[in-house]
Amino acid sequence: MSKTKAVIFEIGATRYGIDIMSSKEIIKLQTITPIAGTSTVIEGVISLRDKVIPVVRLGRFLGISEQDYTEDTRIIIIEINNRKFGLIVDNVCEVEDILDEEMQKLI
Amino acid sequence: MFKQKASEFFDVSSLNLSDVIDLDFLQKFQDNFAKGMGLASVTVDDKGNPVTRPSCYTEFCMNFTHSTKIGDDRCAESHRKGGEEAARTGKPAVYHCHAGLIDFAAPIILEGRQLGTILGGQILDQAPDAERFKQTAKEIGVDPDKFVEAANKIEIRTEESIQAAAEVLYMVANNLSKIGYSQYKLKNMSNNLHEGLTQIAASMEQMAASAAEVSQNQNLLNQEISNVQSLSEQINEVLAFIKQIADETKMLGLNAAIEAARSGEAGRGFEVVAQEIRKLSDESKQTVVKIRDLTTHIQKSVGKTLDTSSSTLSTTEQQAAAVQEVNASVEEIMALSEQLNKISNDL
Repeated sequence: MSKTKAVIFEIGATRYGIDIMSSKEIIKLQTITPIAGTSTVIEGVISLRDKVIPVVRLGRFLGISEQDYTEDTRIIIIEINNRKFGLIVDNVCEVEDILDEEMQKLI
Repeated sequence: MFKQKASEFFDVSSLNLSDVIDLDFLQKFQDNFAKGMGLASVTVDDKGNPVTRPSCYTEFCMNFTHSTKIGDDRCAESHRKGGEEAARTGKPAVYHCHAGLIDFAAPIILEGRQLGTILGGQILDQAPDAERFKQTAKEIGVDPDKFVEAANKIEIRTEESIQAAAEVLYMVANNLSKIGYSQYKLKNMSNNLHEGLTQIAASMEQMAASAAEVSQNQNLLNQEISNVQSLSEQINEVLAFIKQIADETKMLGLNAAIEAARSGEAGRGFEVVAQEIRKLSDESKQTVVKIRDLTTHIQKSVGKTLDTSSSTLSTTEQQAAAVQEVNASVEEIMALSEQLNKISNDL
């Protein structure tokens, strides 16, 4: 039986998961420097250990919710194709195993 | 508060003549009256003991009749009989003494009780019978000739004038005693009033003192409440700090899990540790919530206490004000009672 480990997070009232192998780390909300000239999808950039990483408000990006910042707001740093991004989410809950069968059911 | 009830105040049976009559005045009056009327007089109490000095006693009585034991005893007996008659009728009695002189007894009566008697007389209503007096002299054991000589010096009055004299003394003595009794009562009442007021004033002072104490305790209480509130706020600050740490611990746990996963097999052991860390942070946050509930509770309770204590304070302030008013009234009454005392002394 195969399973996928996922980082479970919340946007609005719904919980989502992202494959842990894609995740690098989770950090608290930091100062976001807005960049002029980028699309509205990119919220801005943050500086993490001398690296500049663009961040996206995931809820807005997916068209789910507006996402107001709270003290629970987190940024999940993901790496895809050797490029790092930050996903702004409302809350990070857990790291869990999700059975592939379950995922199949939902799809 | 008062030692006696009003009805028990004035027990006439325990009064003495000296309580209700100014004896100096009585003495003066007695002396002058005796001199003016030319008869002897003395005042005795209810037991027959003299309360004044005798006025104008005759040589006959003083130096002769009273000088022997027999004579003295007979005189006492005559006085007693006369006094009894007077007591029985409640009016002056005029009678002949054992030696043949005319005497009177005027009772001093107050509210139905005899306080004493004014005795007097020692006069004759006609020239003395020498033979009879000589006989008496022999009986009582004095020199008969000298006895008769003394007898001849005795004043002669009519029985009517003696009766009138007795009446005058009776009226004066009884009026004096009535006035004296009123004064006595007044003084008594005014003393009791004064005492009662003094006690009230003392109680008022105690009340004022205790009200001041309550007020003081109140202020201390308020201060303590203030302290509790400030402590609660400090606790809340600490809780916020703890929550922050718990959040960061959780993130640490999550990041640890990510590293463990990316490390494959090698990271499996570490995965467990990461999980425990996340559990710890969750528990901490739950505790923080509980503590915060508790402090909120405490603050609410303290707030209620503050309300109650504020209302208590206002009540005691009212009480203190009332005590002041009563004190003022008591002082007024005391001033009046002192005036009353003064009046009763001047009577």
